[in-house]
Amino acid sequence: MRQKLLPIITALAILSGLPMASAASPEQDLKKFQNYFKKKFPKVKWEEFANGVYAVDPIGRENWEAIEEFPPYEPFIDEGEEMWNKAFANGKHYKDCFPDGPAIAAKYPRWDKAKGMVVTLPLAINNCRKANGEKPLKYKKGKINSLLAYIAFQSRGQKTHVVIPKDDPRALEAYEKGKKFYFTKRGQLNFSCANCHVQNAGNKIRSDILSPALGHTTHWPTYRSKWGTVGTLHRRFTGCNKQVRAKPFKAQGEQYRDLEYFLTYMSNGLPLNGPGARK
Amino acid sequence: MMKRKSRVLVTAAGAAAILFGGLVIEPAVHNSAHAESAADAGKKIAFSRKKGNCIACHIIAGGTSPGTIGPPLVGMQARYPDKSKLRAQIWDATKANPITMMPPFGRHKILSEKEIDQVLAFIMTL
Amino acid sequence: MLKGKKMLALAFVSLIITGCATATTSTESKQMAAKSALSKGGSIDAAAVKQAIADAKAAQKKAASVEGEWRDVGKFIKKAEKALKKGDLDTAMKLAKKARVQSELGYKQAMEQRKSASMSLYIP
Ligand code: HEC
Ligand code: HEC
Repeated sequence: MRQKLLPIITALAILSGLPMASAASPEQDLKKFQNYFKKKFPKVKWEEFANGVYAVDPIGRENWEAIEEFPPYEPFIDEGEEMWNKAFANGKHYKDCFPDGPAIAAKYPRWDKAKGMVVTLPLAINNCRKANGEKPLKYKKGKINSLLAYIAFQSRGQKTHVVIPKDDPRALEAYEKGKKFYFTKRGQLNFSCANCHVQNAGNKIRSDILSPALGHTTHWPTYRSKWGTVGTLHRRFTGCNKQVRAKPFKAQGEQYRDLEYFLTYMSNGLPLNGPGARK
Repeated sequence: MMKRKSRVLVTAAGAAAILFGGLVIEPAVHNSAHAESAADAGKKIAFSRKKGNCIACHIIAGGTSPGTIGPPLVGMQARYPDKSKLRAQIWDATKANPITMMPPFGRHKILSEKEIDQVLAFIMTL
Repeated sequence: MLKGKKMLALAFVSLIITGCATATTSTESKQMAAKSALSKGGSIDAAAVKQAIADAKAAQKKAASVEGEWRDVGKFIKKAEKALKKGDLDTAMKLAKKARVQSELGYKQAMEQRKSASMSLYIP
């Protein structure tokens, strides 16, 4: 085993050590990334990757299907709808910020040329609130999840299609930063995101099966039994950083927004199916 | 470093004692009793979530709900005649494979040198 | 090839640095030498602890500056400060050292990963 592994690893190290390695275009990355998972899980149908670990865990899936019969996130959708329809103190509505709303999930995350940054849906929501004199919502727990749940539900069936515009090199830079983040080992335990969700997707860590990275972004916010409520994608990022004993970054800070940009782009073509329910 | 060397010597002496029949029974018995208690401590570390948590990734005899990320830990003695190689894998697995999932227990001070010796003593019994 | 060699050398250096406990370069060791006027019961003096905490904070900041801070460093520093206040100097010193060492390791990890981390290592 070791003897067989070593030459391969050495070869890999040499191949990837070349400075060219990072010059792959996002389109090339996307193909490589999606093919990797299709090959790794030949029996999993394409749209199934949107179901996370339940695409590769038949036992957990039964449980999950039972849960989805009476979705635990339903009350949050209802509350979100109320929030969407309620006027701000100035008489305006979310609709004034998002004329195409509420089914706008597939528009995010997106590169905002004027701001020179990746704008995610939660960030856009708070920008809207601030522009209308309302207090911003918290980014990990709480009410923002209800609004996001309503928007996600209304957006079901749209396809992930993140764009990395060619007319602004800073967009590519943000993408590259997010990509680098995903493959960077962190924390005392020295894991990269890819260690768990690429290299070992489908494997068991203790008794948890690790989900493939492909499809990780299709279903937010997600009701987690462990949380007992719905939480945002950046809350999940925080948890995954903490468990490797790395200090997490700020929700909606640059690192996590760039990470979301990369990770969502990698799922381009998958249907949106939020809000989700997970263990 | 010194400690490790002397321990290897002691083990060698123990092996010699066994090879040479009952000639030096006394130190051999003493040594194996010592090794057993270290192995017991090592077993706890290997199965503990907060410590080694080797069971999270490896099938290990006597452990429940093991992970499937690393190879089963079996036949260590036969497969690693050179104990220092085994210790090196635990101390820093990234040396053999830079993108390994196995944490560098020694290099990142997840376990103390003593704890690593105990885990080593334990997996040598597998 | 070169890369392999470089990595070996790096690994070797890291062995030397991290393997041999506290024999590192930082100003702290000098401080300690100067101030190691061990008070009664083999404990350490408060000035040395304060210095160790300051060193830990500096190391933490450096690790954070390259996105390499580990999860518990902040907690260790807070606990060290509390222990210092209570006069438990041994505990405070131990925690401060741990925070510094973990920060140094996190910094090194981040710098090394900046060079080596790449998608093609995982997906050739
Ligand atoms: C030690 C392994 C490990 C590492 C490293 C890790 N995760 Fe996770 N992650 C998990 C586990 C376990 C779960 C829950 C089960 C599952 O969906 O895989 C999870 C779940 C997730 C989910 C939710 C999946 C879903 O379908 O809802 C996302 C998103 C995620 N991780 C992102 C990341 C990112 C980004 C990183 C790097 C910052 C990362 N993870 C690092 C173990 C890990
Ligand atoms: C997060 C997963 C993980 C954990 C935790 C882990 N290992 Fe590993 N281990 C691996 C992987 C993966 C390999 C395969 C080789 C490689 O990639 O380094 C491995 C390889 C090994 C090997 C070489 C096996 C062989 O057949 O040659 C030994 C020995 C080993 N691990 C011991 C341990 C011990 C002891 C612990 C606990 C202190 C431990 N491992 C914890 C993932 C892990």
